[in-house]
Amino acid sequence: MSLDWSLGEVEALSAKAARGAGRAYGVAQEAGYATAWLCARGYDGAGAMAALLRATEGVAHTDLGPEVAGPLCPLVLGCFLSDGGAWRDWARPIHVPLILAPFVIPAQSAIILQAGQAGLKLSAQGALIGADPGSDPVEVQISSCAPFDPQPLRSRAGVTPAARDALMALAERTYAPATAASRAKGAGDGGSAPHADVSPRTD
Amino acid sequence: MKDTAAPDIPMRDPQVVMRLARMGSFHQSRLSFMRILLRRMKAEAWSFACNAWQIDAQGMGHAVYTAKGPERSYSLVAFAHDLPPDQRSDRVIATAWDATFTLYDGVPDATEIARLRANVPLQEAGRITERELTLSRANRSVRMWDQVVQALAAGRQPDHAQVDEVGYLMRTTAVYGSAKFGAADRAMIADRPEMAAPFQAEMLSVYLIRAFVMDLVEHMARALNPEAPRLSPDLRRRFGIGNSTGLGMAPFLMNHPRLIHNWIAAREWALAQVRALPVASEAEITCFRDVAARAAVNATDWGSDHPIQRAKLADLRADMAALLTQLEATDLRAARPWDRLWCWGAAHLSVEGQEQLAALLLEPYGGIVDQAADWMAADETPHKIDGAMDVADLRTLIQRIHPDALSTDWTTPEAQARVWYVSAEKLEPRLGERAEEDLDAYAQPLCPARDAAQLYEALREETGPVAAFLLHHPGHRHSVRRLQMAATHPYAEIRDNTLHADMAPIDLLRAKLSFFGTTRFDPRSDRWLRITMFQNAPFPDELATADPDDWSYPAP
Repeated sequence: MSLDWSLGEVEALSAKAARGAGRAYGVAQEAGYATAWLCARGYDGAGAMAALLRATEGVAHTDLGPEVAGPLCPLVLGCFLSDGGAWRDWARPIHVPLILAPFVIPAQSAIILQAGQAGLKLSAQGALIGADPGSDPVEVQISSCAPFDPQPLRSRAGVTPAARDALMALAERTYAPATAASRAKGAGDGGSAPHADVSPRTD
Repeated sequence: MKDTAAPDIPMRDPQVVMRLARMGSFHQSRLSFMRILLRRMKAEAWSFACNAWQIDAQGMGHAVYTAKGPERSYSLVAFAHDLPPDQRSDRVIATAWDATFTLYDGVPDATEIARLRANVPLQEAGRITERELTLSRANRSVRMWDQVVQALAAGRQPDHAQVDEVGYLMRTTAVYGSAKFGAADRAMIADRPEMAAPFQAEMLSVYLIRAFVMDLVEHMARALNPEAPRLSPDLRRRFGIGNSTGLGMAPFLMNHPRLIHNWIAAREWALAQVRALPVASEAEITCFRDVAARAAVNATDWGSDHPIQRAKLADLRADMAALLTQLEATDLRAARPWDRLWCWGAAHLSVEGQEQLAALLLEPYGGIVDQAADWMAADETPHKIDGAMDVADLRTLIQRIHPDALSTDWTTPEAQARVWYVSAEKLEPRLGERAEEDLDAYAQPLCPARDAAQLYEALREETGPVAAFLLHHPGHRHSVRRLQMAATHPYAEIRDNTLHADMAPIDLLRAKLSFFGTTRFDPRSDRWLRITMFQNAPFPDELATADPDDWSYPAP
């Protein structure tokens, strides 16, 4: 049974988890965005991101990209494509191919993202139709297809407890362990003053 | 932005505006979110009702306050608790409060209230849903609370001077909005006209909390003495809602660059409009003279014990005296009165006084400037990077946005003295000393100027498009995104060094809180401050007959 989360929550947690898994801050922002994007289309975005971050933990960004042999990372490739890099047949498997979807939204037409046995249809409106291809690395092809009516977006994220726990475990690595010095100084108050805020905390 | 500005008065240079010292001197204005909210509710003739009051003589139970607009209703669901004194903590990590709240989208039925009762009092440890827009809590000012209850129970009104000294009966210790702890995402309400401006759900929550708190204190007095009078309307208005705000808010200004740009651009546009006016009418001149005199009283009444703020207040009082003197000597009926006054202020007033003048100049001109409220929200979908940009153009952009960062010696200890991080113990933003603690592994990228300088260096030997550079240097991705946004959103980027040894986080807090509409900033250190919200504002039951914009300065 999945938990009812806001899209903003799953985005913030995924971005933190990506940071915890060693991704650069700007890439982690994209990870958060991609997770929420998938959740809004009814997919297990949190589970997909947790699987990707675990599978690629400790591997350098450049070793997950198109210039090095080995499975490609959909975040590295996705950032490259998002920045205007061209899609081509990489002839290499891609980790958790579902995560490519947010980055290959066609500008004008609908496409099919074929990942192994699973085919995902994407439209310019950002809809997504098709089965979750799973997390095993597979080769991916992209081809154009006839336009289709977009599915309505969801306003909430379904997050499984397992995905939540996995992302939280990674996110915790971004928190500095408390020390006597930080307790005394970090908050600047010696422990007696409030730190409340009146803002949504999206940091 | 609407293009109605006179072309010869440009908006102020972001290199002047986006400085910590100036941001730390911002004042509330017509474009503050509390005022936007009250103006709309007044204009649309919102109605307000207390739909449930199930609070016992010990002050425990719940109440529901519903605000009904033209299309939708919003309900504050308030839970009042009997909090043992030893558990009363304003720390954000507290686990019990005098009262807890949520703003419900619509009018909750008994089933919904039961669900909320099981979650809202737990705050961060509970869960809320897309039906809830905010989650918040408040603690009593014990001294003020007891004084008011005892005075009313004794059949008299509390002492004015003491009321003015404290200014609130409860202070919120957090008001969480958009998406937090399961609450509705901003996107779910962003297309509603009444929620389109920033923080309207949060401001409405606090506005209704204020009404609840006043009703609760009178209820407690009547529990002691059924004949206890209500607070006199004049005295009642003097109570706002207190708030203590700390480092938790500071990263917001750097994490929401597009939003911050829209806030500041709206105000700067408004200022340029007023400065460009060829003449002022008698009514407009009278309005300005009146509000300037009231702002001078505000500067006198505004107290603080903190040395930083005491110095700023001394400046502001001198500035206001100078402004009033100048107004005596100035013929505002002559051409371009406000631009002449502005230019005089830029030459003669401190930064505090200049920013106060900027806010005051908007006051007579609601018909011109209030529309800018519609441009203050932002779609915060991550800014798409233009990967085709040539790295040489990116270097030129950095030269334009961050010239100071490029002339800073980042190897000196004071230039990078600070580290922004989040502690495992509190899960709260903190500020550490780089020299004293090994925190680099946890550093948050809350230093746009330093990061821009590092990017500039990294690009020195590079050629070709940004996309190829980022493929090999992902660590600069966030900086490229920021800088490309700043190219078209110039107020998005703070131009000072937010890691410097002399940086005071309260400057960041005040910039944000001024846009909320808070007054009387009272720093308690360089990292947290106290404020009051909605002090002197008309209550919901008074709004129909009150001026929604005439409460931010002391009564004449």
